[in-house]
Amino acid sequence: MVSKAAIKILEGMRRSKGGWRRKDFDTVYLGFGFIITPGRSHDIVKHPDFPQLRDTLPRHAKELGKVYVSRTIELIDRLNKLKGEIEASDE
Amino acid sequence: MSEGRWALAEKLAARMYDIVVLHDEASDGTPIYVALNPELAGCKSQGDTVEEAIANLNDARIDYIYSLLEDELPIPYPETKSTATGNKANSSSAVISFETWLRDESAEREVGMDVPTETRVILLEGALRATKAM
Repeated sequence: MVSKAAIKILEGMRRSKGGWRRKDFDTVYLGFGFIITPGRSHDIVKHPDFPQLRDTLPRHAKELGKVYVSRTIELIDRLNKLKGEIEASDE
Repeated sequence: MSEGRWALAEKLAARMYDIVVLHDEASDGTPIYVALNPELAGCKSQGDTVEEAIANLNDARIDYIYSLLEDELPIPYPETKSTATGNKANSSSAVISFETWLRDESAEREVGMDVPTETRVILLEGALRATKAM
């Protein structure tokens, strides 16, 4: 079950890549089932069922670049596609 | 966290991965630079200058590779097929698993395969320190 907050923020990210804070990224990723693990200087985002879906989030930056928004959208889209493929193969 | 695994992540991250630097904009509109390693999907960092972005990427790459090691996933080779430490890369494959790397490195440094993995990593770490000190 994906959280409504995650869906709402993701929709907003698709409309505009500006104005998003670190907590928004966390809400989207956690809401879609990703886990965030701390490294030494960066946090690693990964999905427990699809380990190829990964991202890095810097802890030193309060304001993240738009590239991070693009990557988040890309990862969620890939996640949904992979889940869709699995559901289709199960039917 | 495993110190041996961190040492291995640092060594693997020191290889010559391609770096791409993009001119970007932070969420508050401030101009920034984002540096990424195309061979390591999702591995990136940012900074106010190109140099800072690359320095932060070098740190991010260690964390990224550590997470791959932790999950026992293959570590992609740099496409240049060369390494900062001068080791020969496996020319037949673009990626190498942690176990394969460990096996090859163990053979090269004559660390027995019957030694438990964590112990082997620690031994290799010691061997690497000795090599660096030479």
